Amino acid sequence: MSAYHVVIIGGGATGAALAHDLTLRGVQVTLVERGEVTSGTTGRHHGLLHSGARYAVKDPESARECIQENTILRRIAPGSFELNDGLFVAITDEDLAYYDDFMEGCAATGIPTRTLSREEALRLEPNLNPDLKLAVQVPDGTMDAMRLPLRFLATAKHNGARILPFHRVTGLRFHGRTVVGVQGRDLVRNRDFTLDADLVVNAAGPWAEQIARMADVDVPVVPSPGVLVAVYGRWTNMVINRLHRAGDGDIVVPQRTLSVIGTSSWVVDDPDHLDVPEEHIRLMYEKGAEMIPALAHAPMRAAWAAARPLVGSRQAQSGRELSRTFKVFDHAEEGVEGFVTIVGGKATTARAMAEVTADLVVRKLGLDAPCRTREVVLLPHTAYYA
Amino acid sequence: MNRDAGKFWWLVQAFSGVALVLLLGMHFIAQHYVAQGGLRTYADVVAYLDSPWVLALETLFLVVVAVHAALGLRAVALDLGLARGQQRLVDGAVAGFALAVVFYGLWLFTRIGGG
Amino acid sequence: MSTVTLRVFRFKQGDAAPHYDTFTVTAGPRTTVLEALQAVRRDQDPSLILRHSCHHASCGTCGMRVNGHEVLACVTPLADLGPVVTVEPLQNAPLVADLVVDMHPFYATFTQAGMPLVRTSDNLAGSHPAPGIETLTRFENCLECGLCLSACPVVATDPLYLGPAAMAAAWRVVQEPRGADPAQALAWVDQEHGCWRCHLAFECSTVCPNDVQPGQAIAALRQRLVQGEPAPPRPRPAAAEPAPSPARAARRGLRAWFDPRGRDVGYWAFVLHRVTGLALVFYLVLHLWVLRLLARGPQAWDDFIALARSPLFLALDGVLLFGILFHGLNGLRVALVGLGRGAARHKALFWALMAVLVVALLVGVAALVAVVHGA
Ligand SMILES: Cc1cc2nc3c(=O)[nH]c(=O)nc-3n(C[C@H](O)[C@H](O)[C@H](O)COP(=O)(O)OP(=O)(O)OC[C@H]3O[C@@H](n4cnc5c(N)ncnc54)[C@H](O)[C@@H]3O)c2cc1C
Ligand code: SF4
Ligand code: FES
Repeated sequence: MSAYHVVIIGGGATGAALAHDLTLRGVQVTLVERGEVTSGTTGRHHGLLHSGARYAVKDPESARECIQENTILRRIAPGSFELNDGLFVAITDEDLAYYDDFMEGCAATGIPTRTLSREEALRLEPNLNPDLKLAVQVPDGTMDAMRLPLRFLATAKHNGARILPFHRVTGLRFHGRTVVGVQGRDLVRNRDFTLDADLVVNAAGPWAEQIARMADVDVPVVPSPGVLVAVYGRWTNMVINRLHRAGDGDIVVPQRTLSVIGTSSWVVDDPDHLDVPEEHIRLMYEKGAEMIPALAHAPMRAAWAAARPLVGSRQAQSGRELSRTFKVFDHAEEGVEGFVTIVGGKATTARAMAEVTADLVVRKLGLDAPCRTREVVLLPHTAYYA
Repeated sequence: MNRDAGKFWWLVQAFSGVALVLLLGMHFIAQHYVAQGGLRTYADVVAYLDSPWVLALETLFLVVVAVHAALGLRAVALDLGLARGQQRLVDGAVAGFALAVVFYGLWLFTRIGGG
Repeated sequence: MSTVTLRVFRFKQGDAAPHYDTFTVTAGPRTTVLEALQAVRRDQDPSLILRHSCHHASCGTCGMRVNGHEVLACVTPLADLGPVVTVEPLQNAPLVADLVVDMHPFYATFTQAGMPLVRTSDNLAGSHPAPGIETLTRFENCLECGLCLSACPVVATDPLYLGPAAMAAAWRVVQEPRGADPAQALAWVDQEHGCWRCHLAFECSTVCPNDVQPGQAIAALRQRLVQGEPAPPRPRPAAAEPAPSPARAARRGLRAWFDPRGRDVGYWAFVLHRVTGLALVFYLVLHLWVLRLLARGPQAWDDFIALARSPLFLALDGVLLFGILFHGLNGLRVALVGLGRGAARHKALFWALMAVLVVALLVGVAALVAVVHGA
């Protein structure tokens, strides 16, 4: 273990994967999270282990990251997925017209596909809209939004990282313009805390801009919420996507005894103010039922919203136009040393985000330690609390 | 207590319980409903206990009650969350209780009529 | 929009004692208890802490007691709960702060059951595995929320008890081993503080948010243990060692018997069974003591009989009859269901037996009065 101490702000998928990565590289890690771990965006995501096919046409960079990570995660986190694959279904002629672009995109980004006739698709998933024209099978999967990051955290903890939930960061500590630690409030004991650090990583997702402002630097993150609706019943076993340009309510992810329909997309200023507009709930039902008619009458278990931490122009209108890829900021470029921000991406790509970030962190600390997270099999999520 | 004790004693408790529902029903009817005025007079009791069948039945009843009560007390004691040492103490105590009940009852049978 | 007063349990490490804070919040028809608490934290008191993650009854973190009932806050609408809503942390688990409890003891036991977390059964019927997929899979139902432990009267008192969630997990291993060892799982629950300790209150099944039915699982385990051929040489699994002391201190102890707030009938049945049981032991001793008069000869006994015919005595006999009938009839249910008979209809069985109780009690008392007065 090196003598270097890195503090990570944010206990979402990104912070969790980073804590694991840095710990494996021999860095001392303390992760601070204002609530329970994964209580930000991560725990609330759709639960889709992306194959990348959704982004294959418009966002190939993101698609490539997804398929690569999808393969790695199956290896390092066995038992954390419902691995029944996914279907992209073409319902209308317009959907069908998208087929060629889609197949081309998948081929170019290395996503395996298999085209199924209407009859084959209906045999696999009898609840699909019988009007469907064809379907394409891709290696999508269902993940448990909380448990996968818990496995990163459990493994990091086991290897010596310190995880501090219910610790809210309220400011950074400086030496000149160099960040040398964090300060905040320990909400378990109701008292202030400070932590010294050789480097601080801001992994606060949609809150990353709030943290960056503590160092007077700017991170162009756009909190872009989406609504998700969970209905009772497992109406399919595979993940069902609409074969068209990514839009609203075009993914249904079965999980345990529920089916989750999502999502919509808009932009907000404050990720702590997310409402769940009634018309979005209706839209999810409507769009979901175009693929799986029975969803129209499935009773609702819950409807909620979560904010994507998208990187991009603040002028964005809906968030759909922004890439799902991620970006690491070394704030030394703005004159602030000892401070790095990682935002964007997907929960599926958290490991890759962590790898790139940790590469930068160890370089800045002057260490020579390669990434090992592609091979190390994670502890089960239960080990986080046990 | 070995590991099978849990199952064994649970079964004993369950079956003694079911047996009690029957025996107690009989005891009630015999001692209180059939008897004139709800309770037997001394002479009646003596006469009644004279039958070896009755004596056997009442003895069985006594033993089953004692066992069931002792196991019940033990369950309540376990509810208190005892350490292993204390549990052994409780096991001894409830066994003592059951034996005391049975011997006292048998002693009564011998005294009645005879005294 | 309606206005609701939240009474929220508050405690921080280092505080001498917990207290309650009140907050006023507005609730729409869909506002959940979780959303209301998040709004309190955001707008009124940023020091309030609670656990939450998925917001759709899937992660199991947001378990708490709302008006005394164990629920998942993320799927509990606030508007249905009345003008004043009390929110408290789960019971029988060590308190961290505010609404947060320590899940360590839960997982320490739960993981010992050795249940694989993905199942291969109960997928959508009629659906077929796609090419390249061997069997359809899905996550196990248990959300690891701990609601069942908070509601269970035996967990409340016995710190070594394995508890409903862990035993339901063991039953899943028996049903569908998936590489795990069912004999090991059976051996693990076959212990004093395992499945034999359960008193079939079924509070676990009542509060479980995802239909795991731990109560029925425990009954099924017993049935299997009673019927199954003697288990092959069992590697002695780690016995449940006394839970770490904070967990011990966190159990409510006997207090739980006398505080069945928010509980269902099974809990009342359990408490009443214990209370009548103890009373009957007391009565047994008393009864034997009185019978000593028989040993003293005719005079003493016949004097007693006169006393026993007094109205007060008869009233006490009525109480006694109730105690016997309740203990006996509920005991029949516990014995039957405990062996796996009628576990699915345990509530109906309970009420049927209670109907028998009422009839038997009326008949019994009437007969007693008739017999005594007829004399
Ligand atoms: C509706 C929706 C559906 C999605 N579906 C999927 C999907 O199916 N598959 C997929 O792979 N991805 C999905 N995503 C994307 C994915 O959820 C996110 O990219 C990912 O979870 C982001 O993780 P994060 O760790 O960067 O951010 P977060 O999870 O938001 O973590 C940041 C953490 O920082 C904490 N924090 C904030 N401020 C402070 C402070 N001052 N002090 C301490 N801690 C602080 C927060 O509490 C939070 O926990 C979805 C996103 C949305 C919005
Ligand atoms: S059995 Fe039910 S109540 Fe108990 S932890 Fe699992 S989901 Fe929660
Ligand atoms: S927040 Fe996950 S179960 Fe409620």
